[in-house]
Amino acid sequence: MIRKKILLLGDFHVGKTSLIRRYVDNAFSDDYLTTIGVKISKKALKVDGLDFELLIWDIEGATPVKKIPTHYFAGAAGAILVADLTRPETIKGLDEHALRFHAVNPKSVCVRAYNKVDLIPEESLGSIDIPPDTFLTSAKDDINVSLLFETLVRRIAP
Amino acid sequence: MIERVNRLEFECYDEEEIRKKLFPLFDTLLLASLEKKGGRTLEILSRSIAEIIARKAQSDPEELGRALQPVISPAIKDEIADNRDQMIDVLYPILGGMIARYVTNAIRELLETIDRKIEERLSFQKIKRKIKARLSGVSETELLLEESFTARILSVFIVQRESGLLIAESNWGDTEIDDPQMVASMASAIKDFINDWIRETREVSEVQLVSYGTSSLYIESAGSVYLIAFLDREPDYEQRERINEFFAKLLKKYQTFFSEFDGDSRAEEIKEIERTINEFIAQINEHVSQGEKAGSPVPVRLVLLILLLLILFPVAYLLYRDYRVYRLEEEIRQKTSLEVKLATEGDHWVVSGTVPDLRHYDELRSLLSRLFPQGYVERLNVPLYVLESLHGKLVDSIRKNKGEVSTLKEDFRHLATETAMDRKATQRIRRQIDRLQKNLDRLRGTLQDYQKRLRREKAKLSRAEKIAKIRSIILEKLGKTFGNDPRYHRKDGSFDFKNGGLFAEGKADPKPQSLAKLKKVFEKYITILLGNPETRPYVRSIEIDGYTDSKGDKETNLRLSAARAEHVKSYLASLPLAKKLGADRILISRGMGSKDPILVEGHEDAEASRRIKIAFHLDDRAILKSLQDSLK
Ligand SMILES: Nc1nc2c(ncn2[C@@H]2O[C@H](COP(=O)(O)OP(=O)(O)OP(=O)(O)O)[C@@H](O)[C@H]2O)c(=O)[nH]1
Ligand SMILES: [Mg+2]
Repeated sequence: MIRKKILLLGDFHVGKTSLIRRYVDNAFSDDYLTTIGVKISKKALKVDGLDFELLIWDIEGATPVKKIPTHYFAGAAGAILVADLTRPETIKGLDEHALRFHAVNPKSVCVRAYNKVDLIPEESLGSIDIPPDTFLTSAKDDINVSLLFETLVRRIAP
Repeated sequence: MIERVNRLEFECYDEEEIRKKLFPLFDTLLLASLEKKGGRTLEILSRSIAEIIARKAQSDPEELGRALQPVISPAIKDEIADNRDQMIDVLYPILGGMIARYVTNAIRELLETIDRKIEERLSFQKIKRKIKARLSGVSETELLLEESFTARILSVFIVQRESGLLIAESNWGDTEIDDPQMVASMASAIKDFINDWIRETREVSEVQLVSYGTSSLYIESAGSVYLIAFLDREPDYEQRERINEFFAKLLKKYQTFFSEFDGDSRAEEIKEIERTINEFIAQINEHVSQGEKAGSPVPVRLVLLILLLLILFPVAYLLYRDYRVYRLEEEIRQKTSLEVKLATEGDHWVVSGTVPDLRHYDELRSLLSRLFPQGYVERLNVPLYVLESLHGKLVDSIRKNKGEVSTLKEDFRHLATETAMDRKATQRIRRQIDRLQKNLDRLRGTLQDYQKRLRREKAKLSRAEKIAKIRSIILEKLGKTFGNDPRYHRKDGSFDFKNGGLFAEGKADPKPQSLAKLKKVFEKYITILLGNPETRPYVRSIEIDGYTDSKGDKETNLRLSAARAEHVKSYLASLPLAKKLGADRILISRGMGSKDPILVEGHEDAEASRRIKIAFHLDDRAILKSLQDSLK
């Protein structure tokens, strides 16, 4: 068994908690309960024949007045940077999250989720630039969610 | 006293600030503790603590610090070395006072998150009842010091400081924790949460301190881990000593393992460590007679205790290990405004960090030579131009010295021939010449040093340049192979496998006959990327993106495109060449839906749209690392 701490980062209301909920419990809710502090969940999975146990830290999202405290980052092997496709500014914000995260964990890896793809009209998908290691996800419709986590683990794996 | 502490809190919401204010406090405390070394009772100590805090809150803290500085600095050094235990005891009361008020709220918040995880039958109300309000930590500490029963060790944990991952765990008999992994993680989370809380909270709530009844936690924070022993009573001195010794032994033996622990619980060492701990627990508990059995502790309480006591640790930790370093770094920061890192290696100091320009470099060096008269190792990043300018200066000064020596020599010869010169004068001048000559030699030595350093730096730069160009090297090679193929994109090196007739409408598995063409392209592609040692280490992933035509609804398309990519990926990964080159391990698939459909004269070519794209991504980190290595 290999245990890893990973975390989800991004602005508030982008769907971090929902992605974890989808991945860990295969459930979704339309209610919005903003996360305070941090909530930790656990998920076991097998990747390339190796047993993993993820300790997934769901950290409160950044708001215009408050950044995510970097204390939480310590010791994480990787992070999922989450943005909300309906709020372009949350995509722009990801680089800063990545930067702050890497400053604490220079050896860690990141993947990105452009979440809530279910809310985007098909035509506007074309105008969205999707960088490497970025997944179009929907916690609501379960699109690319487990792929997102598994890709991160695969990239963390020794 | 509470009021005073509150006032202190009002002054600073910032953790850094609090730390800054706390450190001088420690000085004062230590002094008190030193003066009263004979007495064990913390009554006295705590009274002076109150007094000190009071004085502190009123007077100019800087002045106080300055006044105490000369007495305390050397004292601290010895104190830390000799009395680690005592230090904790001294610290406990004020830390309690300063931090406890935040604890209650934080705990409540966190409990809401964790209470599902802990025993259901204990409601929050019941837990709260266990948290007794106290106004001072004194009696607690006294307990620690003066009560002496024989305690039984129930559990020992080793938790990685940074990540909160549990490295090893051993329990005595039927003591057990529901989910030790989660407890360890939450413990490290709560610590962070509180740190943050201290910075944020503005309202002042009741001062409370958690009483932990008869149970006791013994925590050692060392480098990369917490070592935690949970006992059913306060351990007596002898026991504490033994636990200390044991922890020290573990630390010494497994230091590297702990700091490099990457979460892999299969590591041989873990079994070994757990065995060692088990033996130790058995050894300790053997001597505890059955009759003295203490009430069995509740797991919930254990959870809570670990959480609470870990909170107290960052500061104590700082004090133990980094106090001196912290002070020196502070001093350097204040005097030069540079953020340098100090460390000790063996018996010498190592200075690292980045220096922006010549002026700072000069300042820093003169300060460092004052701070470390016995010398230090310099690992500073200095801009090349600074080295060059120092080099220039040296050359100048050597030239000047040279001139001076030769004039003197000339004079000397002159004088010597004039026989009237007396011995004393001759000797004086000779000494002067010798000194100057030595000076000159030294300068020459330094000059050679700088010249060597310059040559090395320049060689590094040219090596680094090659690594930095890795991307254009790959693009050039791909361009040569696919150059005229309209499906190849010169700009980013991706290959858009359109017109391949890969997929039937609505189908996710590719047509077998079209795969042969794809195979050829792919094999060429990975050969260029992975077939040579020059580029191979820097290729991080090869991405297969699946696409659909724009018919159908988006969600179906997203799923379909992901399935297409996945199918193609597993086909490509199964190719023998892919395995041979290790491409199978770095293949990634993504579904892009109907993004970027292929248009021909304004109409979509649906068959062409149903396709996959191949792209490569470089490992920036590996490149950076090679760059750094080449610059070392
Ligand atoms: N339509 C849609 N809604 C989503 C999706 N993911 C999350 N939501 C909704 O977006 C809102 C915010 O989701 P959360 O998961 O709580 O967001 P968060 O990033 O954890 O927010 P904070 O904890 O405040 O930082 C909720 O109302 C969710 O139901 C999605 O994929 N599609
Ligand atoms: Mg949330």
